[in-house]
Amino acid sequence: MVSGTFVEAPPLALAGEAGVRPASRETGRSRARRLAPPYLYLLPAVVLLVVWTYQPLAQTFVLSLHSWNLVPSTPMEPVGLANYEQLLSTPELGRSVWRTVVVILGMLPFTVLIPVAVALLTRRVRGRAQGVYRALVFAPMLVAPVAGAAVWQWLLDPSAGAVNRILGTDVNWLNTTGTAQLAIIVITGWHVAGFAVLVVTAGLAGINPDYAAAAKVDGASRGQVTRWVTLPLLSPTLAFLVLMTVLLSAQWTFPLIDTLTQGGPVGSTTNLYYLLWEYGFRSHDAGLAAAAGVLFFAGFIVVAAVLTRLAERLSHHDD
Amino acid sequence: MRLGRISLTAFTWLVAILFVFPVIWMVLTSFKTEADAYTDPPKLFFTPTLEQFAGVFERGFLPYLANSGFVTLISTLAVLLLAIPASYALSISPVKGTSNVLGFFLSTKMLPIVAAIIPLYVISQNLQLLDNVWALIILYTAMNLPLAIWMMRSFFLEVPKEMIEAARVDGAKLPTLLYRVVLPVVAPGIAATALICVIFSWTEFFYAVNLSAARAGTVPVFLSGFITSEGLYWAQLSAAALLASLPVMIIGWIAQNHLVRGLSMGAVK
Repeated sequence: MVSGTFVEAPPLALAGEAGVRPASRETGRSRARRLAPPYLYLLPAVVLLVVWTYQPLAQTFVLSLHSWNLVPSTPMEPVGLANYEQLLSTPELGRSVWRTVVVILGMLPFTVLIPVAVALLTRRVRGRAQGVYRALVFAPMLVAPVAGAAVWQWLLDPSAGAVNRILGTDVNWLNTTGTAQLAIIVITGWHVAGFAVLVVTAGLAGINPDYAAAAKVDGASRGQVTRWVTLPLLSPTLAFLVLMTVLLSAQWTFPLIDTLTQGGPVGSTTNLYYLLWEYGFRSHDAGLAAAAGVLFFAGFIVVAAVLTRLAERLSHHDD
Repeated sequence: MRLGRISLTAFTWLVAILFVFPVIWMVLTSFKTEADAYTDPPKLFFTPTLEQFAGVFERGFLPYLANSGFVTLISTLAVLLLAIPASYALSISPVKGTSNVLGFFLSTKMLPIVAAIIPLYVISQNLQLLDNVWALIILYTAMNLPLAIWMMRSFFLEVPKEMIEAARVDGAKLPTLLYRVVLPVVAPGIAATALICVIFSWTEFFYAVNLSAARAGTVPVFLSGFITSEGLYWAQLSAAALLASLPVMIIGWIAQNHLVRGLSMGAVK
C-alpha cells in the first residue's frame, strides 16, 4: 500500500545506492512475500528456543513418570506417580525448600538494599572519580563465579585466610553447619551486587530529573526527595530486581556450592536447586530428579505470576 | 552537617573498597610465591613472581582457554545473527502479537535450567554432542538470545520512524535498510548486547560442568577441578582465578559506560 501511494516520492540520500529500486504496483504474490518476512525473521530464534528450552522441559515431564538410571542401554520403566510420592515423602525436600527460602531472603540485601544505597551514593561522586567508583563496584561481576569461589576459599581459609585474620577469629567458615550457608549467601551476594548496582544506576538514569527539581522548589529536603520522589519512581526497577532474586538466587549459588561445600556440611547448604542436581547426577535417579524439576517449575510459575501481579499493582509509573 | 557529608563520602568509598578487596587480594596473591602468600601478617611488599602463572599453563590451561574463547565468540555471533532480524520484526516492522512473542522469549529465561538438564544431557548424548563444544555453543546461544532480543528491540525502537519510512519508500530492501539506516543508530546498543553475551558465556558454569569434561571443558570447568584438587596452593589458585577472569575484566572495564546505557534502554524498561 505504501509503495503504491508514494511512487513519486523523491529518492533520499539515506537509502544509499544499492537496493534502491522504483516501487511497482503489487500483485497478490508479492503482497504475501512482503508480509511474510517479519515472521520469517522471528522463526530461527523461536525454533531454537522451543527446541532447546521447552522441548527438554516437556521431556522432563515425561521422565518424571518413569524410573531410569541415565544409562542408555537400560530401558525406562513407566512408574506412574511413584516418583512424586517418593519425593513428597522425603524429609530432605522440605528442608531444601526452607534453605532455598533462606538463600532468597539472604540475597535480598545484596540485590536490592545495598545496590540502591550504593547507586544513590554514587550520585554524590562526580566527574572522573565516578568512573573509578563504578569500576570498583562492578569488579566482582566480571570475576567468573568459579573464580570468585577460588578467591573466597582462600579468604575464608581457617588457618591463613584474610577474613579470620582481620576478624581475629579462627572459624572454619565453609565446614561449619552454622556458617557455611551464610558464607555461600555472602559470596553469591558479593558477586551479583555489582550487576544490581548497574541495573539501579540505569533505572535512576531513566528518571526524569524534573520531578526532583519540582519537589526541591517546593522546599523538600534531599532526604525527602529521595524517599517520596526518587524511590517511588524507581519501583519498577526494584520489582524487577526482587523478581530476579526470587527466581534466580538458587541458580546463582550452584557454582559456589558445587566447588566449595558440595551441599554440606551435613547438607546445610543443599538448597532445592542443588538437591535436584544431586538426584540426577549423583544418585543417577533421573525419574526422581525429573519429578523434582516439574514441582520446582510449577512453583516457579506460581511465584513468578504472583510477583508480577504484585509488582504491577505496587509500581508507580513515570508517565 | 559538613561532618555528616564527609562521613557519608567516606562510607561511600568504604563500600567500594569492600567490594573490590577480594579482587585486589586475588591479584596480589597471584604474584606471590606460596611461602609469601602464607605469611602472617600478609606481605604487602614482596618480590613479584610470574612462576604461578607459568604453573597454571603447565597444568594444561591452554586448551580450556581455547574452548572458552571459541564457545564465547561463536555463540555471541550466533546470538547477534538471530537477534537482529528477530528484534527488527518486533520493533520496526512489528508482527501481530508482538507482546506475546516478547512474553514467550522472556518466559524461557524464567525456566529453572536445572529442571531441564537431564533431558539436555540425554539429547546431547544422542546427538554425540557430549563433551563437545558445539553443545555449549547451542545452549549459550539459547541462553543469551532472549535477553539480547529484549535489549536490541528497545534500541531499534529508538530509530526515528521517518528515517525508516523514507528508506522504505525508496524501495530499500531489508539488508540495505538494516545496514545503512538502522545499524548506525543502534551500533552502541549492539555492542552492549554483545558484551553482555560475552560476559555470560565466558563465566557460565552449570551447562559447562554437566555437559563437558576434558575435551570441551571451558575455563570455569578447569578452575573447578583446580579448586577441589589444589585447595592449598593459594598463590597458584589465585593466578588461575585471575587468568580465568582477566579477558572479561578487561573488556568489561573498558566498556562499562556502554553497559549502563545498554541496560537503561534494554532489560529494565
